Order: sequence, then C-alpha cells, then structure tokens
Amino acid sequence: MSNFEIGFDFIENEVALVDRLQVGSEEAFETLMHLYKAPVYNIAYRILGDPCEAADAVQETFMKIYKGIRNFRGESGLKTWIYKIAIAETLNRQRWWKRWRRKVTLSLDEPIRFTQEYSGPMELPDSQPGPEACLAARETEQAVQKALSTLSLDFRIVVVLRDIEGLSYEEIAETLRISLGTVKSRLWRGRVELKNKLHDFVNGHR
Amino acid sequence: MECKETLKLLNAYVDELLSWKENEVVDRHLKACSDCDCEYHQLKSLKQLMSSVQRREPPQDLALRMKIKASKRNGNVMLQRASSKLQDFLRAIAIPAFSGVALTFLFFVVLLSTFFTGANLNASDKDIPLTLVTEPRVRSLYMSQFVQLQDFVSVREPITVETYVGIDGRIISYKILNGPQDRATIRSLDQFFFFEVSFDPATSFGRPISGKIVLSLMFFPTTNNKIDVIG
Repeated sequence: MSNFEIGFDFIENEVALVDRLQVGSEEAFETLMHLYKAPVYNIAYRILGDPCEAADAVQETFMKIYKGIRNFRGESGLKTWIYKIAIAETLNRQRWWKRWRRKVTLSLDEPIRFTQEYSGPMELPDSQPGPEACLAARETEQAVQKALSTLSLDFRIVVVLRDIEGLSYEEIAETLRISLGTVKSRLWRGRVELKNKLHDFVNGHR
Repeated sequence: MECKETLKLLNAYVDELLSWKENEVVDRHLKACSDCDCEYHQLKSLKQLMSSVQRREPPQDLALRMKIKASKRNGNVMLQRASSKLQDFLRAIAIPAFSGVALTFLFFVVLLSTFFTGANLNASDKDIPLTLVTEPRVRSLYMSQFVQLQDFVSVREPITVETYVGIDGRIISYKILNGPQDRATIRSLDQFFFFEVSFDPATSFGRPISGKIVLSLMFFPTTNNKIDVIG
C-alpha cells in the first residue's frame, strides 16, 4: 500500500468516524476517546503542569466534542478541531486555576536543582530502562515541565504542540487561528527561552 | 550569509523544513561560524530533549468517567433534540402562518367592510340601487268605477294580503292572510288588485325580479270614499 493510499484510507476512516459520531454512536465516541485521549491529556498536562487539572480539562474537552460534533462541518481536520477545543478548555482551566488556586505545585522562582549532573548530550532511555535510567528520565521530564511552566503561555502552547505533540507549523496555525509567521516567531522565541532555561541539559558542542 | 539571516532560518533548519538550496546556504554558514553552529546544536539538542520527554498516561478511570458523563448527557440530548425539532418545525411554518393570519385580517376587516358599507358615490334618491335587493313597491293607486265601494263598506276591519308581483310590475296572485274571506270581499279585492294598483317590481342589483309584498288594506268611509294602503 503506497503512502497516498494509507493517507486516503485514514481520511476516509476519519470521515466515517465523524459520520458515526454525528448520529450519536457511543461506540464511535469510545474510538475517538481511545485515539485522542492521550494527546489531549498530554497537551493539557504540559500547559497546566497539574495531572488533576489536566484530567478535568480532558473531560471537559471530550464533553464539548460530544456536544459539538454535530456542528463539525469538516472545514478543518478533525485533529486540529479537537486540539482547538482542547487548547481553549485548557486555557479556561488555566485562568480558573490561577484565580482560585494560587498554591502552585511548582515554584517558579526556585532554581532548578538536579541530583545528577549531565555532562554529555541527552541520552535516551533504553527499551528496558534500569532504575537509574528511569529516575533520570523522570528528572528530565520534571525539569522540562518546570522550564515550560515559566514560559509565557503563547510560547508554551506553540512549543508543546510542535516539539512534544509533533504538529506541523500549518496545523499549529490552524489550531490556534494565528498566521504561519506568528507560529514561526513564537516557536523561535519559545525555543530560545527554553534552551536558556535548560542549559544544563542542552549541549552546544558536537 | 549573515548570522542574522541564518538565525532566522535556524528553526526551520532544525525541523528539516528548508528547501535544498536554503539548506546548502545554512550548512555552509554553520561550517564557517562557530557561534551559529553552537546555537544550532543547542536547538537540536533541545528538540531531542523535548521529544524524549516521556508521555504522561492519562489516569485509568478517566475514560470510564467520560463515558458515564457522555451517556448521562445522552439522555438530556434526547430531550434537547425533541425540543429543537419542535422549534424547527414551528420556525418553518411561522411565516406562512403569520401571513395567513394577516391576509385573513386584511380580507375580513378591510375588504369586506368596504363591500358592506358601500362606497359613497354621491347617490341621489332617483338612482336605481345597484347593490341591494329591493322589495316591490306600490307605484300608483286610483279608484275607478269598477270598484264597488258599497261592498267595502261592510268591511270594517283591516285586511292583510300577501301579493305576488311579477317582473313587469303586475300582480300575479294574492293571498288573504288575515281578514274576511267571503266571496264579496274576494271579488272586490280581485277588481282592486287587477285594475286599480300598479307596482314597481322588486329588483336585485338593478334588475327587476318577481317578488312578494305584504299589504294591509283598510277602508275608511270618508267623504272621498278612499281606500288607504299601508305597505
């Protein structure tokens, strides 16, 4: 099967899925949840930095999708449509959270401390990670999360969508309803800021 | 190529989105400029770091919670769908229904009222009424030698007669509704109706038609020996 056929098949499946969703099939909704639960959760978690809030955001996102799927006309892709709702819902949470829960789990001023110093370039964990590698991976993840949470919201969203979720520039522009140029500049400034905050992890030499 | 221009392209270079030609240019610059090269490697390292970040698995019960919420909402959705269907139906007939009511109002109130009140045409008494049905009227009444007045003298009470008038204004027949019905009276009435009275026929929209009229006759034994007709 060529790439084109695979792509076509996927689009056809998406259309069929949307059709089934629009007639209110619970089975189709389950499929949708299975497909998008994890990416939506990850986006929400990376932006909010709190697992409980992220779970709530995911729940609200899928309720919105369930309610709004009738109005989905397929002008944008299903993926960007879902991400659009997820981002909006996450930002709602963010505002609400800021207002009501000032006790933040991660202190923004506290310097990032690491128990283990990295000298070489970042090493990916093995397929069978030992306890040390596991710990290292967790620490890396925490450090990244901490650095992300200090970024301004606009940069954070673009960096998360691009570097963690792997969306294309065009998909980001469609999801956030901003121009391609804005995506590029936000990504650039977000990456530079992040790079400076994570300088212990980021090696500039060959 | 300047460092500034290279830095502009560096993002896309890291993401491998540059054209072959642009790639060449940036490549050449990075080999020559250690600052930009350092920047590039940092960005590349960051990208690797970001993509290596472990994905968080959503909580196990999240899917179940959402399913419960969705099916709860499904019940509400049924109700909402029914009410929105009703609304859609009403919305569809709103304009025809409104225009129907408006037209009915216009027809009954505006048009029919002009029919029944009739337009003011500065009509005079001599005009033949065109829009009404009129009854026959007594046009002239005279006494001749045919009427034997002495027969009437015996009639002291009023006689009520229903007369049928043809389209030429002549009487067709009559019927005594109230009063004496003896031969003498009938003969006198025959003479009276067939020779002494002429009628204007009934009209319908100006056209003569046959009609009937109820007359009350009363004989007054005055000096002129006159018969009065009260129509």
